[in-house]
Amino acid sequence: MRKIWNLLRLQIDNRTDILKTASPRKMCVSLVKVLGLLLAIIAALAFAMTRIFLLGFSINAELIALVMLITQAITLLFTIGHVISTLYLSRDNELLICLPVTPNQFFISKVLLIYVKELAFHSMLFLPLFLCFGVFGGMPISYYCALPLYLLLLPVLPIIVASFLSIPVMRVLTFLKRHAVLAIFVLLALVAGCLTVYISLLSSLMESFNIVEQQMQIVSDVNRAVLATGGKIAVYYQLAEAMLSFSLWYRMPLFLLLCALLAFFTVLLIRPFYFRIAMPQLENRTGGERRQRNRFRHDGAFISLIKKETVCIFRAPSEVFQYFLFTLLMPFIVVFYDRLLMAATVNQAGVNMIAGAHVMIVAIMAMLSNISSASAISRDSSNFHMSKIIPVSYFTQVFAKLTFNAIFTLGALLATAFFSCFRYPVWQVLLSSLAIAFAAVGHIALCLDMDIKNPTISMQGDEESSTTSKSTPRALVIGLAIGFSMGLFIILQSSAKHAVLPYLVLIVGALAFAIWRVWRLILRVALTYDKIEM
Amino acid sequence: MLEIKHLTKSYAGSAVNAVEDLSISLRAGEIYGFLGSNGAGKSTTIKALVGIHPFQQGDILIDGVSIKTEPLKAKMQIGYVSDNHAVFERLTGREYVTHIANLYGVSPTDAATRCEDLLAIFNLKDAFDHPIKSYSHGMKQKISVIGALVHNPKLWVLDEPLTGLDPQSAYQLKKVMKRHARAGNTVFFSSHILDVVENLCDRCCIIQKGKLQGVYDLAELRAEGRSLERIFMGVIGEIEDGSADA
Repeated sequence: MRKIWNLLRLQIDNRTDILKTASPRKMCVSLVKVLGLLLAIIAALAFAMTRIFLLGFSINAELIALVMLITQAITLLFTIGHVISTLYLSRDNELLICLPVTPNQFFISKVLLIYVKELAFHSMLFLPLFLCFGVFGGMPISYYCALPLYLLLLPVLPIIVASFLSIPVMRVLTFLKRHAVLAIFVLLALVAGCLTVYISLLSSLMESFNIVEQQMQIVSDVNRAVLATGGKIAVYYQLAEAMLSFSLWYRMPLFLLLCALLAFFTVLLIRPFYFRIAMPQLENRTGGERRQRNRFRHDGAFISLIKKETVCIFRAPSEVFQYFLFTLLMPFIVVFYDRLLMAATVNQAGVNMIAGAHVMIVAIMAMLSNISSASAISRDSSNFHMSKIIPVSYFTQVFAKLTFNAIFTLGALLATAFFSCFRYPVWQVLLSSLAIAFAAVGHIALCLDMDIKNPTISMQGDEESSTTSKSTPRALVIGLAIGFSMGLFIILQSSAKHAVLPYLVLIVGALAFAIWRVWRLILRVALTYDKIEM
Repeated sequence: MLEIKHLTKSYAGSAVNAVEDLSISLRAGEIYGFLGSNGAGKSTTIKALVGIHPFQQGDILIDGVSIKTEPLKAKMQIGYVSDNHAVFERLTGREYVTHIANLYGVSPTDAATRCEDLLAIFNLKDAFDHPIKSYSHGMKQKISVIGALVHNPKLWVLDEPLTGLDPQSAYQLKKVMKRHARAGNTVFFSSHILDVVENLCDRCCIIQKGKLQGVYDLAELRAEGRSLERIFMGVIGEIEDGSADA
């Protein structure tokens, strides 16, 4: 038991530094930040729930059961992710397995770590929800006293389900790991599918809520549906009833017993699979799959650098997902967003504003496509020395990185413009796309500039390197601000006399921004690149 | 072939010079060993001469071309194998070498000829079209060597090249180093393995705390019956008189 506890503590210590800071002041700051986040979530939820319950929804055991089920079903994806990353893909597996502990102790410590993670995750999610239910439902004091116990129990069921699901998921992941292109398509299809469902739902909701006379009918339908379905969710309903009524407290230990039994059998069933799946992940497989045999092909240095960037990113599905998700899905997202806009504006004035909103979403998508440039230098990690030793000027190298990103962003912009022509006037699409293209080039130059100024050169290999840099969050915020400003400008100018004028102003502004940033980048390459040390 | 003149290099934020007033000269066709204990300044010197680190004072000439004033022309003459065997792991061996050949402007025919030869020596033909991430440590080192030699550089620089290599791979690498020097090129490498330096090099130098302690002709040392190990230990202060024999 002591060894399991030590293993668990070691793993927790390795993952968090809130309680390890040297000065009590820093520790307080960290804790205040966490509490602040929690309060912000509670406030946001309280605001949302006030709006919802003002519509006439009632708080009862059925609703709580339904909310618990839906929330846990949605978070199941994250729980599966936590189980996989902690049990199977954790980098400390190799280190921990060498310690003088039995496989069972090692496995149980891992399961407990998952529980700790899920407890934190579920508490962040459910505590604000339950507090809001308590306030709006006028719950007795016993409700609040019992909350910590419920929070302790709630993560158990998702962990059990996720543990079972993680086995086939790991098999699929292992397969996709060997087929990068297939993995990219599967990821894109999954995201596109989720977006379609989400936007369709949102679109239908917006249509319904806009029709004021039907609002009460909808609320009463929802209340009826909640009463009808909530009562059928056996485990959650029993638990929700116990939460609301102190006289039903005995259901709580029953639930506890059920969880303990299920957890015991899960550990028993998963344990034999665990080492069979986790251990091969630690093996350094030599002689991987053979790629098509090519002859030596001659390209200029510039083309060769662009090709290298492309191959290195597109052979890692996770990086494609991280950097080019919005690029590859840009036309798709914009088309759906336009549909959503059309649905939302049924009862809204100012149809001209739609064009501005369209510019905003396209510009934001285009700027998000540039994020890879904010880690273009850092991503080279230990290979960065190549930049310094090859007989190719730094400017050419950086320009190749800029071109690589621009090809994808501008390509996606072109495809989006093509589809947008079916909904908007061609002149509008062309002018806005031109302005966004200039702004995107300027933003790519800015991202590269930031990374050159402050690179995060990791001396680990490609596979272990950090795929983000210190500049990534800043580049993201600036990109969002640029996209938002461009859209806002068109929205504010929607009543201008000459409809073309705002677009021309936007083009001039974006062009000036692009020239300024590219010029700064050229200067920075000349001044700073040589001084980057590793 | 390589001339390091009064090289002085310090890192940002450090008051101490990592390398101080270092001057050495290497001839064409020789293998030159670069010795020093950990932190002596070997890697800093090597990184300065291949263009990774800028330096404050002095100059480095490669075949008469300054790395400071004409970096691209100078880099064209250098092949470098780093100590961490960093290569783009998502590329295959062939893609990596092709990329390097393109950067150095080597024709596909020349690249193919040089590669065939080196692949045969290193027994790497079967793995050449596999992703580098699937290579072992030694294989990564070998593909890194092939990449460094694909443009047939006049100066081949290796940082700790034999660390972690199995005896067969180390033998193959030493064979290629000798062959490259016999073809009239210069091989400059750092090492901790004194036996290798003693047997492989024509000359070597020892640096300590960034300063040159001496340049030694290995043939002369052998003729005089002096051991490099004792000289080295004497220089770093491990034994009192390094000039005496064991």
